Amino acid sequence: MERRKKFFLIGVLVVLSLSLVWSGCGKKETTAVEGEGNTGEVYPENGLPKDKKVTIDAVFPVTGYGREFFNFAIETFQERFPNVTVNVRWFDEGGDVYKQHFDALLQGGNDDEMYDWIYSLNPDLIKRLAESGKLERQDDLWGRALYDTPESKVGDVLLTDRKALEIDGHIYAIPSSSTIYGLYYNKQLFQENGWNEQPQCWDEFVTVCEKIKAKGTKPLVMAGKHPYYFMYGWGAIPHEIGGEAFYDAQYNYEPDVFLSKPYLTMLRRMEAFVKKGYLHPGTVSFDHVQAQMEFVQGEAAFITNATWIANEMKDVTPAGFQWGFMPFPGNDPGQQQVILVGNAQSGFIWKKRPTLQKQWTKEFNLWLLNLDVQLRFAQAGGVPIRKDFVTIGEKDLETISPSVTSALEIVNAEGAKLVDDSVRKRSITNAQMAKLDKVKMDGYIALITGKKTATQVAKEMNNQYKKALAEER
Amino acid sequence: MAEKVQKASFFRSKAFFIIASLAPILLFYTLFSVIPKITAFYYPFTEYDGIGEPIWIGMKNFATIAKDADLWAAMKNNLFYWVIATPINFFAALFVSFILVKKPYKENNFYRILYYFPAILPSVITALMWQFAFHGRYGIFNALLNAVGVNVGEFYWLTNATAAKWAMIIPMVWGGWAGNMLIFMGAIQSVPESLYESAELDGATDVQKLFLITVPVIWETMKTMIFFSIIGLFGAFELILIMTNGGPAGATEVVGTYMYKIAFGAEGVAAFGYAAAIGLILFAILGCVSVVAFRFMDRGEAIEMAG
Amino acid sequence: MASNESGMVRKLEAKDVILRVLLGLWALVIILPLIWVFYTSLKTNQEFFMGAWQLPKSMQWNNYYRAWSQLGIGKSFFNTVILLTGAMVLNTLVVALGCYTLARFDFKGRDVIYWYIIGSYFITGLNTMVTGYILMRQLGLLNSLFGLIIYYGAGSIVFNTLILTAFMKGQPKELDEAAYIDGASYWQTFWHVGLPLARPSLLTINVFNFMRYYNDFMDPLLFIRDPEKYPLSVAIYSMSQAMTYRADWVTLFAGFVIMMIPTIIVYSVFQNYITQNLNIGALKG
Repeated sequence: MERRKKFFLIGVLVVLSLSLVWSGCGKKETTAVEGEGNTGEVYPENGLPKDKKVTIDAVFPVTGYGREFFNFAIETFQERFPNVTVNVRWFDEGGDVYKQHFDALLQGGNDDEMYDWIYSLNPDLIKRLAESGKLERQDDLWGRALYDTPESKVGDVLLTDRKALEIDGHIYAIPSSSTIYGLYYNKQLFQENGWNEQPQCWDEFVTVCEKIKAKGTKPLVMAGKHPYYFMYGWGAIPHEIGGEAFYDAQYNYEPDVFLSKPYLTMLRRMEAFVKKGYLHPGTVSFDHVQAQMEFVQGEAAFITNATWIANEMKDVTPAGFQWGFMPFPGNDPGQQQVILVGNAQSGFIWKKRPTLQKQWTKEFNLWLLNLDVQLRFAQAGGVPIRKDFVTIGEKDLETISPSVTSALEIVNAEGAKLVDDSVRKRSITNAQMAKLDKVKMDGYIALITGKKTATQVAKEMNNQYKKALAEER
Repeated sequence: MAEKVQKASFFRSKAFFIIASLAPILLFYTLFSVIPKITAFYYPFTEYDGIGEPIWIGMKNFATIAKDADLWAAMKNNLFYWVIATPINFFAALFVSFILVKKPYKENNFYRILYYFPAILPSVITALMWQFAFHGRYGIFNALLNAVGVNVGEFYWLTNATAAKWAMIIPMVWGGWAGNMLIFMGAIQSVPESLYESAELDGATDVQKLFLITVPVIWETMKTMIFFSIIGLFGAFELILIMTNGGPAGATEVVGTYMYKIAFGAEGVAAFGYAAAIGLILFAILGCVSVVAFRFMDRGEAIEMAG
Repeated sequence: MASNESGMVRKLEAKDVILRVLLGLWALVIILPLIWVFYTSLKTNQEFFMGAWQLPKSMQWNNYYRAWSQLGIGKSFFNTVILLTGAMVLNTLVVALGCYTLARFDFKGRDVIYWYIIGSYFITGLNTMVTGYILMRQLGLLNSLFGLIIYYGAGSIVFNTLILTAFMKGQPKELDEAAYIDGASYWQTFWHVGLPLARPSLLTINVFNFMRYYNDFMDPLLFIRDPEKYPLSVAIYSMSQAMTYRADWVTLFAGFVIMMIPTIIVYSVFQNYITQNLNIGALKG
């Protein structure tokens, strides 16, 4: 008898512990009640109340740009609007951890734990969030007057098309900066050796590489363990060869993109480049740091990277080092060169947050476009997003990060076309699409290690792409 | 009155003690270990991109898995590392523990502490160090080869599929057997000294002592460890993720790195449902293998009698 | 050691020399990397980027100062102490109480309960990150050190049960019985006899608990949102992840050295203790 009781009790305990979990569901409810009938004054620029204390929760992964520019924006914003506080959850760990944290928040599905201001996420995720109505629309920002130069409107000064920002016809965030991808090199080294710093097409590029190789230097190094670094350079080729048509094909998920001539040309040039021994033989094994080490040590002449590189490496570049930038010369003679840019949209606003917080968050986004914030950003290796940035003055321009300067110089001088390669019509997510990524990365590596030919690799990528598209329909 | 006495005696009873003492451990264990696992059974049958609600798709993920050649290749790599590294880690630990416990060398006390340090070192550091060691220009391996007269030139070990696959075994072993050593030392110390003394009188060699006395006595411990290592079949992950990221072109891809790529793809296409389905397959495989291994080892109990 | 003097051992001297040389070589394979970690932590970043193995020209002790402040030693160290103490006490009490009963009492269903717990070893491969997170939220345990203490305390139950049950089974039951005869209750006996007897094993599991909790960064990252509550492990992980964006490896190395010191001390002090009392034994109950 007693024994039975015992086990009955143990059973009850286990059931209890189970039910504890379920009863916990839905206990918390969002308390997003706004105070009504505010009688106090309002700020004339935005019509928001002066006397209502507001705290904005922001989440910010610290990347190659560091924290400083963002801190500066917050400090000046809080000074201007003393009733507003911006609380930042920093992610010094950078992108990966930020992404995991965000994944957990999304899956948790609790709006209380969400942030008002969300730094950029990958475009695909943003698209899905926007499509499922999780993000606040910010269309009105486009027509707003800027805080520091009220005579001009946001839409007038932004270095981007409205269309490139739209998802289903609406704006969900305004980019506050840009990134320029391409080849970075040491000008000093090139001048000493008399190497051509402005090859106009693929053949001229090959000639330069031949000269570099003859000197005993490896022409190009990349962080091969993360093959997306390849695309920072080589990714320009399909756009140079295929122009608008290629862009559209990619944008619209047209069939057989990977078998198209522009894409195949990229793979073939990559193949030829490696065969001629222009690629650093260690590339495949290098990550970020090791690739940069080879570059700093003068073992390799070019590195594929982005504008933040000088800021990242400011402590390790040797004396006399001078940053140079080159669009990837993968084009045929007579074709326009392409520079890949990333207009990282940032400052997304979570829809299910208290209204006043959302309103102030939008104001903060506008604040990020101020020229002094943009300057801080450029000093940290970002590319300013305002056309009128140069009005800031010669003296300030000298302080911006050298890799940004050299990239901007080329952008201004050459009239190369700027292309944001990451924009797509809609998002496709399924297991096969997730795998396409791996197939692409492995394909590049198989190509440059000579395991597979360009045609084989293209076919594999295309097959996987087909599977992904088929699954979606 | 009578009721009260009865109650008091119930609280002092053995039955109550048993229930009350087991309640916390069962509660905590059920709540935090069992429930998350049970609820996790739902995801493999869904398509879930991490936003909103998972969509039920039945067995589709498993159909995809069946045709996913990359996944099976990754599992093969896991098996490769397991087959090569596990015995090394096991026997190196056994031999060294035996020497450290049974041999009277002065430096043994120091080694017992030192040999465990690779297990303490953060994997980021371990990975970085070995990456430099495999470097083509200043790597230690090329230097060693040069020293014995083999010139491989500027060869980068981790860029070649075959070389990388084999090279990764070295860091796995370097930091891998220290944990086993700890357990073996504990077990060997518990072997009664008298057994060795009588063997010595019979003129047994060290190797004989190890295999005829130590191994049979600590056989239960060894069985448990073999069992643990089977469970760890798909464990090799962190060093590979940092050192090769599964490359070059999938040569060192293991299930862990593969799942990581699927669940947190570089371009942000998240297929959590699919990753979870892979997890369920691993669970099924490990479950079967470990049950079989457990049965099999049970039968081997006769060996114990030999000691 | 007296047996060394026997003729048999002297005969084996050549073999001993070989063994000792091999052991010494392996020691070098471990010591050299440790030295490398240490002197790298004293280089400048430029020196590190120019050559991975080169020695520093002058010692940059400043790296340690920077690592110290970047790790937020004051705050995150405090969190680590709270977290580890809480989790270790909780885990020890829960596991010791349960294992004591499992090891000392014979009752129907004992094996079922033992296997219910140990059976977890068969359940690997399932990713419980998401479901774990949802559970913690439903229990209201997110974003607090207290919540993490509970999670940790519950997390290492399986392994510790294995070790502790095996150990407690090996202890003589006579002492318990003597206590009962003296009129002690079951609780008193557990507290005054069972626990003290298990002390060596409790210490061992807590050294493992220490290593595990001290180095874990994934759970705090997942469950704690407020960086003010982050333990040291997260701080060092953040630093290492940030190296993708910042070329400051020497500070990271200094951070690693700082981070490793407590582990090395704990392990060195208790090593002998652990090996003497670590009895994994059989899986069977």
